[in-house]
Amino acid sequence: MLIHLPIAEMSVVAEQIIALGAAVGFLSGIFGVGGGFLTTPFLIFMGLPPAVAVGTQSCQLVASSVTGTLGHLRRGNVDLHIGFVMLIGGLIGSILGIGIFRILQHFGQIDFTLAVLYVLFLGGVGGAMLIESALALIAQYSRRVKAWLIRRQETQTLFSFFETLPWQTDFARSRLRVSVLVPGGIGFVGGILVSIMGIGGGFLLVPAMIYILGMPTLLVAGTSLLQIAATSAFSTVLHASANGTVDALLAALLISGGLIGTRFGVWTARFLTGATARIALALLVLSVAVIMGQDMVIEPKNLFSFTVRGT
Amino acid sequence: MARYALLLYAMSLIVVAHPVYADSLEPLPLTVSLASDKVDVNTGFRGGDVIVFGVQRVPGDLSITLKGPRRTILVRRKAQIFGLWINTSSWTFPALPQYYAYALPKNADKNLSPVGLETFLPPLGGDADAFRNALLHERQNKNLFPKAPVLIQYLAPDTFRAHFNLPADVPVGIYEVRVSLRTKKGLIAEESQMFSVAQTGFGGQLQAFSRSWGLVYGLICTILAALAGWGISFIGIRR
Repeated sequence: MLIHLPIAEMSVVAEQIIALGAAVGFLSGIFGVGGGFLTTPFLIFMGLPPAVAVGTQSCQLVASSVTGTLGHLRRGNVDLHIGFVMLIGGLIGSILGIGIFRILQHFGQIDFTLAVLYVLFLGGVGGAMLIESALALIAQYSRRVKAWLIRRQETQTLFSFFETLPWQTDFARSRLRVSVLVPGGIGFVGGILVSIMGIGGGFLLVPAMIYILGMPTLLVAGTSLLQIAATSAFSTVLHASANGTVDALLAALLISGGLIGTRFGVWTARFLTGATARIALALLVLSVAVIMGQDMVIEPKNLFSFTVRGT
Repeated sequence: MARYALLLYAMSLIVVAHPVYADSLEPLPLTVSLASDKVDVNTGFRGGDVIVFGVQRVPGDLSITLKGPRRTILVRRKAQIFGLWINTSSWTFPALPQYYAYALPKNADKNLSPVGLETFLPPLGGDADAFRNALLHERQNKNLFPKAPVLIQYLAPDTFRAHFNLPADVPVGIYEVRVSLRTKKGLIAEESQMFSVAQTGFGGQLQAFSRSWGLVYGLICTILAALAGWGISFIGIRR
C-alpha cells in the first residue's frame, strides 16, 4: 500500500517500512541494541533523503530506548548522577552535530561523510567486538586463552591522563572518582553521533563506560540507554525545529513495526545467549559497515546526484 | 445642426474602426479552461489528472505546455580521489521547472511549435552537457520530464482536449498551463491558466504544522515516541 509521506514528500510502500521496523525491533529484542545503525542506512537505501532518514530515526530511537530505560529504572540499575553529567555533554554534542550536519548538507558531502563515519565506527567497534567475543568463545575450550584474558582484564586501569583532569567528582552509585570531563566527553561524542549518523551509539557508549570509566557492568546498560533516550529526544526536537526533517508518519510506521518485532525478539532471546550472541551481533555490525563502505570504493552505479535548492 | 450630426457620425466611425474595439465585437481565436484548478495530494496520492480543454476558432497549429514551479537544481558528480568516490564537480541549473509536459495534436509540425526540452534546457556543450544529460535522464525516469508528447484530441472540429497524468512524486506548488496557436506567420494567440498542487488532508496539515511550529512539532513527536516506548516496555525487554 503506497503511502505519501508529508514531510519526506515522497511515497513509500507502507508494508516495507513496517517490515523494516519489525526486523530492527526483532534484533533489538535479542541483542538489546537500539537498531539505529540498521534503520538509517536502510531508509536511505529505500530512497529517503538522508536528512529525513536521520531526523525520523532519532524519533524512532526515543521509542526503542525509552522501552529499555524504563525496565532498568524499575530495577534501579541506573546511575543518575553520572547519567546527568553525560547528558549535559550529550546535549552540547547534539547541537554541534546538527550544525555539522547542515554544513555537510550544504556542501553536498553528507552521503560520503555518513559512509566514512559508518565504516570507521561500525567497522572499528564491530571488529573489536568480533575479536573479543571470538576470544571469549575460544576461552570456553582453552584454559590458556582463558587465563590470558583474565590477566588482561586485571591489568585494565584507567588511563593515568584522566587523573590530571580538573573537577574530580565522586560518583557514589558507580563507586568511582573521576573528572566530570570524562563522562561528559563520552556523552559529548555520543551526542554528535546521534545527530549526524542517526544511531543510538549504544555499542560505543557501553565499551566506553566499561573500559574508559570503569563503571560496574550492572549499571552500564541502563545508564547508556538513558543517555541514548535523552540525546535522541533532544536530537529529534533539534532536527524538527532547525531542519524540519522529522516525518511523523514515517516514524509512526517504524515504531508500529518495532512493536511487533520486539515481542518476537525478546521471545527468541532465550535461545541465543553468551559469546555466540555477541559474535552474531558483531558480524551484523560489520556487515552494515561493509555495505555502507562499498559505495565509497566501488564505482557507483549512479555518478550523479541531484539537489533541489530554493528559487 | 447637420454639421454636428456629421461630426458625431465621423467620430463613431473612428471608434468602430479602432482595432481594440473592432476585436471586442468578434469572439477570441482561443478559449481555454481547466477541468480543475487544483490537484490534491493526500496520503493515498498515486498521481493526478490535469485536463485542459477549449475552443479553437482560427486555423493553426495548437500546442500545450505544462510547467511546474521553478527551482534551482544542483547536479553533483562523483570522481575517484585516492581510491574513494567523492562528490567533486557540480553544475547549477537556475530557475528550472520541476515538472514539464507538453501536448501536440496528431500529425503536428514539430518544427513550428517550440515545445521540446531544448527550449528551457539547451545543450550546453562540453563537460556541462554530461550534467545536463544526467539531469534529463533522472527527471525522465521519474516521469517529471516528458519522454513523448501527450496527444491533443479534437472532440469537434473546433473543440480540443488534452489529458495530462501527473506522477505520484510530483512536486507541490503553482503550475502553469500555456496553450499556443501558431501558423507559419508566427504566434497568433496564447492563453494561460494556473493550477496548484498542494498537500491536503492530514498530511498537508501535518507538514504545515511542522514548518510553522517546528519546535512544538518536534516536542510532540518526541513525547508520543516516549509514550510508545513506555507502552512497549511492558513486553519485558532484556537490557
